[in-house]
Amino acid sequence: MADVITNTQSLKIEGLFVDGDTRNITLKNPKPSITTSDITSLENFMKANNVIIGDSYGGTFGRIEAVTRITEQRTTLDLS
Amino acid sequence: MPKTDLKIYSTDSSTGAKITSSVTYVNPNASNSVLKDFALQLNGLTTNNYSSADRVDTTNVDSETTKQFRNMVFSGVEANGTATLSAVTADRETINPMIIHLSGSTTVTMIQSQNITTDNYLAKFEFTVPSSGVLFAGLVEKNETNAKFYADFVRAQI
Repeated sequence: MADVITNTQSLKIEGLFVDGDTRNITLKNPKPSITTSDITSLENFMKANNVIIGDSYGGTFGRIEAVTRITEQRTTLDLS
Repeated sequence: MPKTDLKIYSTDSSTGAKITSSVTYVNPNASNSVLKDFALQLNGLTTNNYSSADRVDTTNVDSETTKQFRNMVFSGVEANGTATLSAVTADRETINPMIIHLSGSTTVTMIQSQNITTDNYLAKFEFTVPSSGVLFAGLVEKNETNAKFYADFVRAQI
């Protein structure tokens, strides 16, 4: 059996809180095209509803600091 | 400290495999409908087929008392000077009637109680530092006969 190569993609959304905390939300299988408008819309919703809080002091959500698409390739070696 | 998480269940649109995404430290005051909207928005950034979402509320009964005050920090401790003590509390009703016990008699005044989030307050106290010795501070409930110190102590050598 030949080596098996698996490709996976994830989206890392880094949130910044008013007390300085940062925290990531990671989602599997991001859409091929994610626009600034998509992220702005999400950020506005999160701010309007203070939907997540910091994990140190429970700080109020401030903004989305960065969004990163991560592509990983995993190779399972054929040892036969 | 009580904690609320959000679990988002979906399936991979290509393979049908089940996917669970977790968002920790969700605002415990957020309504279920807001959390569902949030789950749908996050899932909308993916190609996954949305299935459902769960709200998970966790209460830690062991640490409620001892974790009421966190991050107690002295600053500016110098002999005969004026220093501050800061602490974070999850309970506004408790922090107001607080006094601070220090080794030696000194006057302590609350100078700030800042709301840093719905359930967390940063309190700052100002006090006169004795001329020498070791300084301890803890927070106790003011009007209780058998008041006890909470677990987080700070200590400073003058």
